[in-house]
Amino acid sequence: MSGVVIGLIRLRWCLSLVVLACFSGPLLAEDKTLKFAWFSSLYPEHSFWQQNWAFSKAAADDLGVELTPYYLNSDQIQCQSALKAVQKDGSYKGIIFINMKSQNQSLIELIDQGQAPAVSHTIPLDYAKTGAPGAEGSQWVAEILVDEEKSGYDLAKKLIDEAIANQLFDQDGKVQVFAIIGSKTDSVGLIREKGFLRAVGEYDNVVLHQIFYARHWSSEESYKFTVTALKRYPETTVVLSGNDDIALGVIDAARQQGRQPGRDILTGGIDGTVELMKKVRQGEAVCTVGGLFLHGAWSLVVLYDYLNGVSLDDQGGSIVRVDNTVIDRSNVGNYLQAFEQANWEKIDFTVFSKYQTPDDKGYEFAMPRIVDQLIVEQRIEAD
Amino acid sequence: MRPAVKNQNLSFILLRSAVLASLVLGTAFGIIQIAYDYGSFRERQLESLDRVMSVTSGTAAQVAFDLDRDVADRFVEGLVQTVFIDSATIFNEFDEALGQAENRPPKTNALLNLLAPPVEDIEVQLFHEGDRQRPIGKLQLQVNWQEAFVDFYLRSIVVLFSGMARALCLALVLYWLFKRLVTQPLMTLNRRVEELKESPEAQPKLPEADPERGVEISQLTESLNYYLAEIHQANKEKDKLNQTLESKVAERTRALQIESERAEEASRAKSEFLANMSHEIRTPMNAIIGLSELALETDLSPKQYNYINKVHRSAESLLGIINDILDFSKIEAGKLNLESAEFSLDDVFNNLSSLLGFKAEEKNLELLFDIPKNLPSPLIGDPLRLGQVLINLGNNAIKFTEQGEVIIRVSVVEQSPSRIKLLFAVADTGIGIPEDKLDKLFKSFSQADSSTTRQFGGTGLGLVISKNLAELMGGEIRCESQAGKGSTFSFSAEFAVGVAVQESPSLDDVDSLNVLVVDDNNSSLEIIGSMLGQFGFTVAQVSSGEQALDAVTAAERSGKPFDAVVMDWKMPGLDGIETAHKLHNSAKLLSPPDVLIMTAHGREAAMEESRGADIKDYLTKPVTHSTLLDAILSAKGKHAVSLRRKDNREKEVEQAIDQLRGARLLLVEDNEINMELAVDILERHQITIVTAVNGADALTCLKQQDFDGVLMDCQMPVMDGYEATKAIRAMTEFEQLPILAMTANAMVGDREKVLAVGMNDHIAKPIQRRELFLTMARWIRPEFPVVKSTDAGDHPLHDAMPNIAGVDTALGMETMQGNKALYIKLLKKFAAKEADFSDRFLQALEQKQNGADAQGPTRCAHTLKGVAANIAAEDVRQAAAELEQLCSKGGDEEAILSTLKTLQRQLDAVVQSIGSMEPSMVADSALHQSLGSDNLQSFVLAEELQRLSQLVEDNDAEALSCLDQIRNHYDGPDVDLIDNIAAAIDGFDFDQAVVLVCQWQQKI
Repeated sequence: MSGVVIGLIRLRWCLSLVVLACFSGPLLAEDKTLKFAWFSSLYPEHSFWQQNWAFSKAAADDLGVELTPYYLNSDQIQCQSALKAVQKDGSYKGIIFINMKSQNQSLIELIDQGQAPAVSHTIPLDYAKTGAPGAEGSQWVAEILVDEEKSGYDLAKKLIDEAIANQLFDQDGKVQVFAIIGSKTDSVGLIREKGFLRAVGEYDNVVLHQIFYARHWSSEESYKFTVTALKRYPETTVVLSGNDDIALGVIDAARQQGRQPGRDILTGGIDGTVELMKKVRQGEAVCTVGGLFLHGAWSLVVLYDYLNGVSLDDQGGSIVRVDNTVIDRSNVGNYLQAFEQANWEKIDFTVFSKYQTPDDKGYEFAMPRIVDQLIVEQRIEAD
Repeated sequence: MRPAVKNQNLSFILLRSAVLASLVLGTAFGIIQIAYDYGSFRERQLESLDRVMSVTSGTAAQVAFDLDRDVADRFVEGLVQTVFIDSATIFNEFDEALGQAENRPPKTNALLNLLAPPVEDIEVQLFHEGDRQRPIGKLQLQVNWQEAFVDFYLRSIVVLFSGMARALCLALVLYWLFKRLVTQPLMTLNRRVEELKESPEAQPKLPEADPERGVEISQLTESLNYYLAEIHQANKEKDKLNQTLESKVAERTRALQIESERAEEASRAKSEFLANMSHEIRTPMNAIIGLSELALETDLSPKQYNYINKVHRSAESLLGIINDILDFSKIEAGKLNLESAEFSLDDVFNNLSSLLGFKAEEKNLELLFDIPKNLPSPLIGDPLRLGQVLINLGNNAIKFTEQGEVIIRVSVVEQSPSRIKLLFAVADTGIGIPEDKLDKLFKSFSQADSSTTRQFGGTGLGLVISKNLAELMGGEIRCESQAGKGSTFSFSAEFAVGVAVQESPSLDDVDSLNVLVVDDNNSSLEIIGSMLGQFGFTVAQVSSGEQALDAVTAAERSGKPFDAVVMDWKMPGLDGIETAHKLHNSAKLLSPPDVLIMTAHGREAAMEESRGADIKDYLTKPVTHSTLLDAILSAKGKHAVSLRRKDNREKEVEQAIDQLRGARLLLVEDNEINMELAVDILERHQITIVTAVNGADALTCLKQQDFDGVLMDCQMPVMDGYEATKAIRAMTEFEQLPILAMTANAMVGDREKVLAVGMNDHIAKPIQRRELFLTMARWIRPEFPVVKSTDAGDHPLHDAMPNIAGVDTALGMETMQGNKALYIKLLKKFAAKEADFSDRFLQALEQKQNGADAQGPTRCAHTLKGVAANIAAEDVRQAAAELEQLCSKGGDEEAILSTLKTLQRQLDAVVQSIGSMEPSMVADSALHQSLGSDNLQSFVLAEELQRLSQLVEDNDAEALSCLDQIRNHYDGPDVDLIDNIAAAIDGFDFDQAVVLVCQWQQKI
């Protein structure tokens, strides 16, 4: 009934659409060729978004969804115009979007003007401004929410502990630290920063000199920051990086400055990218806190389920919480093994769909499950 | 003189002033504002730079701290948006550029660099959060104010012009308001007042002005109306007054006019009276002087000669007085003008010498001239007036001096190449003038002492005229005197210096002369010595004949003999002539020097006295430079200068006369005597005269006969000279006929008057020979000129002179300088005058014995001696000299009577001999001369017939002798007619004689 009300209110000028809206869920569930729009806040070459797309595409293929990517290059205007274009097109049945540049309510208002339900991920929306997803009458039906504060905390704690273990102290017996996070305007960066600060606050012998902000979360930016920051704070032994790209730039810059990453200067990232995993394996990076690149795929699963009439309330609500995983020297081998070959088609995303695999446990989205699937597949192949 | 004022109205003046003031003030305030703006502008600039720096430095420090290149880029991009920042770069502490931005290519040029501060680079150290120790980076800015300054200047120009425009607009508004509120109402008011002027009769009232348009104008209108009413009222009263006043004024004016006309009439009458008087007196004077002169040349008995001579001299004296009066009246009228002609001061003094010398001689006074030699010559001035003053002062000096000397001195007061101021001083040793009378001297009609007037006569005008003449000549006259010791009258006069004509003879041969001066008079000795010294001669001076003899002898012995001795005649002891005799007869002297005798007693007397002595020349005192130099030069065989000059002057007249010979002139003259005189003078020189008695007569003559010119008297009965001239000039054929006025009118303006009516020139009466001929020659060209016949010259030939017993005619002719006519005249005069010498002498002797005149007989003998010397009657002269000596020495009566008898015998012989001269020779030498040529015979006959006609008309028995003369020369066919006339005259039938003479005249 709620769909009818919405239809009456928003699309009263078109009777046929009203009728369609009355039977939206079951009707679309019958249709095998669902078409989703997939938005990236950055550009296709970005390692995080490469991975994200790859998994999203694998999931779409598994569930029979036609997926079109849109790269927004950190441009909120481009974001809005692309969104409007998608809504106008009318062939997209769902939208997977990012709250880039903390657009929050303006973004949600735009989503609500369309007819396609949408799921957000990676950058959480500010519910104080937007309200929670899944509200009645809203097209924003769900958000895949990761605890970014915890990710930051986990990374910082891991790095500081490692430094203390390796006695990377200054003359005063203190661990000197600086951090490089992404754009201040991206709320995820700020949340991660909170995690950093909480972790640092737990130590008496840690000095956090400065937090730098890399607007584009890029290794080029972090490289420049690091070169200068190491001159400014030469006794620094820990650099907290806001993501894996930043960590890669830090490693290069440290090396350029004559330091030995992983030995006299420690860093790690958040994202769990293959590149940084490789650095972890090589010993130049301590860890990467990852899993976030799978959120596009998780969003697709949730949207698929929603459009196929799965009640999200039955699955734990419209806010789907997923935790990141710390990948360090102890487990990086598995992850690399699983991801290096990049044959994501081996992953069976249907097992995560409550429409395909109905149960009452709720959604269990976790990276280790993906790795396990892949390892199993690799072993089967090896066998 | 006030500059020309342009009419400008108030509004225009206000507009002009307001515009000017607004422009000036607008500009001034604009400039002040701009200057102030500039200050605050610059302050604001620096402030804004400071502000920018303070605002941005924190951000910049944060950016540098954050190493945020995006923010850094945006930050510097933001900075360069600031107008005065061209470029900005932000660096971290390691000098790594975080952001760099450049606004635009910096705009600058030379003018901007001059007007605005140059582009500057500013570097600011950045510190993070109070850490002042370590800069976190720096901010580099390129600050460029030039664009801001361009804006400022543009704004300033706008401010300036807008200020001026504002002021101009205000001025225009003021102008409009002023014109509307003040000028226009005033103009309206003025126009209405003008309209009121047009109708003065109406009650004047200006229309009231609207008080709302300015209360002042309406008040002014009210005030004007009030005063207009007052004026109107006053005018009415004034008109009334005027009417009465006008009638009074008219009355008075008429009275004044009558008075003025009377006064003018009186003045005119006075002038006319003077002119008439002048004319009326001068006309008979002309006759008296001229005719008495002519009469003196005729055969007169001694008594007649004496009378006529006195008449002549009285007339001359009277003419002098009349001339003085005329001069005085001219001075009073301010119309005495001086001539400006070249003249020689020597000529003036030579003339003065001849005029005063005679008088001084009469009074036995020494007259001396002291003139510096090197005075420039010729001078330019009025020689006649200069001479007049000198004659006047000289005459006075002689008149008031009984014994001693009169010295006339000349000295230079000032001299420049073109002008000279001379001081003339006439010093005498006479009675002098008391000091308290000196200031009266030069006043009109006053003499020093009225008693003097009675004693010495005189009009008292001489000094006044002299004073005025001296002043006219640029000088002044003064007198210094002491009663009993003599007076010195001096006056200065200024002359221009003419172009010198080199006529000084070469003194080369004579400049080394050694000259001795001998004179008992010290002044004379000194003056003559000084003159000779100025010639460059060596001069020695002695004061007596005896000393002279000694000096000459001593000089010869010393080897420096005197070349010449200049010696006074009359000296105590040995006189000049005796000394000369002794010098020449001295056995002691090998070559006696040339002797020149100076005499104040007449040249002839001295010549007579010095007979037998070798005397080179005689100098008449006073001696002038030229006469002294001439005498010495001629003694040394050189040609004399002054003679040459005199020759030139005479030659001028001769040339004039030669030019006039053969002329046929019409003489228009109502006065018979004057006519006769003029005819006499002119016909002597082969000039034919036809006479007319008045203008009408002259016109008739002109129509009948041809003339080369007309001499026209002015005042005549029937038709006067002016009218006659006008009538003549009215006839085209006589337009060019020369007409010369001959008039006794000597008043100012007479000359102008005659020229105005068309006469060519003016000859004043009494006629002066030189003026007459020169003036005539200037205008008259004879149609048939006649060459002077060789045997009819004005001076008869020596050899034509007959032998006269007791007379050395050759010597006489020499004395007369070859003038035979003069000689004959003198001879005749001598015969007439001196025939009764014995009677006169005895008379004088008798008077002496009666104690009346002790010098009478001596003077009598002295005079005869002089006259006899003149005509070279040597025996008579000698006898007279003896007689004089006897008388002066107080010889006994018997000796005197015996000498007188001898004298009378010789005198009789001479008189008889003169009387028996060829009648043709004696009667009329002039006639004789004129008959020398056949073609002149008829002309001369006509003239003689005219004379004869006059004589018979006058019933004059002289007619017979006139007829005899005609008969003697006549060789024509009418001899019978002569006999008939003679018979008629013999029978005292003068009427018949008139008819016969008239017939003969008509015949020729």
